[in-house]
Amino acid sequence: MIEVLSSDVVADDRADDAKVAARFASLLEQQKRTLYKVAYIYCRDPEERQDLIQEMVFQLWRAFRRFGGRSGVATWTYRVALNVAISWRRRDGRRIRDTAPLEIVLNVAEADQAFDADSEKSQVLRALIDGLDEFSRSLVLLYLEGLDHAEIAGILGTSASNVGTRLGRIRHKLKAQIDQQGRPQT
Amino acid sequence: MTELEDIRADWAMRDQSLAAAVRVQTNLLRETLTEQRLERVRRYGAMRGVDLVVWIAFLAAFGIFLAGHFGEWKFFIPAAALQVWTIVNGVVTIREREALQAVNFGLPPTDVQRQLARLRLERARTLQWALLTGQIVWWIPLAIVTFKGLFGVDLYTVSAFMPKFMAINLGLGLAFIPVALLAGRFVGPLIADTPFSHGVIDAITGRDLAEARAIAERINSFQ
Repeated sequence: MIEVLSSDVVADDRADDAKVAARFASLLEQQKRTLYKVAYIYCRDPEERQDLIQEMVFQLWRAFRRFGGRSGVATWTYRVALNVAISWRRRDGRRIRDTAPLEIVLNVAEADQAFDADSEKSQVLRALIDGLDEFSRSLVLLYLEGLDHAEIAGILGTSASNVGTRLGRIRHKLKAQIDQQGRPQT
Repeated sequence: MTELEDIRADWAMRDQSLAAAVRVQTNLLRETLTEQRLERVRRYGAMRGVDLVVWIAFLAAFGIFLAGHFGEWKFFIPAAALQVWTIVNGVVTIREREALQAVNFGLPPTDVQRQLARLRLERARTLQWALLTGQIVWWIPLAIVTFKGLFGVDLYTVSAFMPKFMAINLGLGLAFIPVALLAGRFVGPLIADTPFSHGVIDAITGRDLAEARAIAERINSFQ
């Protein structure tokens, strides 16, 4: 289920910069795992992944004041992170970015060790997502996150039936991949 | 349980370790965001300011030249070509920049990526147009206008050969367009050895355009 956070993390235009920054830090603390997992799905190289996460933080910050709370914070974070990751893959990022990068404010070095384990399941997942386009990757990520079809559709901007159809195709693809190549050895 | 569900269970297990492993440098973040936000606004504003000043300076210079040489068509026409190129290129660039800044990344990816694909398509068209026509406008017409405007020298009369030289150059410039399109398509991949040269050749040959269209089609087919 999508976790919906209390409205106190929503930016208030009247608040001064320090207060907004504090609220943003609180939001980032609650959503940091989402940023890491989106980056994990879209970027294999740990150094590039750190850069991608920095870009996500920057774009979240840019979008923060525009966020009116119409969608839940978790939905909004998924959308921003996915948009950044998809654009990153197309090298649109630098065109959108207009200034120097942020300091490393989200340290993921430990997460790479903890999450990026070389298990059989992670190898199967890696082989699957390497063969998927940018939108199918987002479907797989949101499915792995435990969201239902309607929630996935709401985040991506498509229909629940389309999500179901596409996930079905991805399941077939995964089965064919395993039948053809066998399970990876760990 | 399907294979994908197995992976999901494994994902959930690994996810539990993330809460402690991903660390927000809260103090650094607060300092960075407050300071950097102001810095970003300043730097972005300054960059845009410099671009605008240069653009307006060119428009003003060509405008003054045009006003001073109205009726002298051999000077007026090259200056008008430069002015039109500068206006169109500047307006398109400013519009594109504003549109990029206005994209709201908090909207669904299908909407945002469609907006970005449209902007990418426009940019590819603009860049192709600017590269192909710019090498005509920013050579002989610029030389004619600069020498006349800055030094009072009429390049048409510098030597008897000059009008022929200029005509040949203009002809070569026009001939360059189809040649560049063909050569870029067939020889480009062999001679482009840097990201910049790849970028220029992709822009000239329209590969950027094709890629932008392919992205737009992928978004449509996804929905």
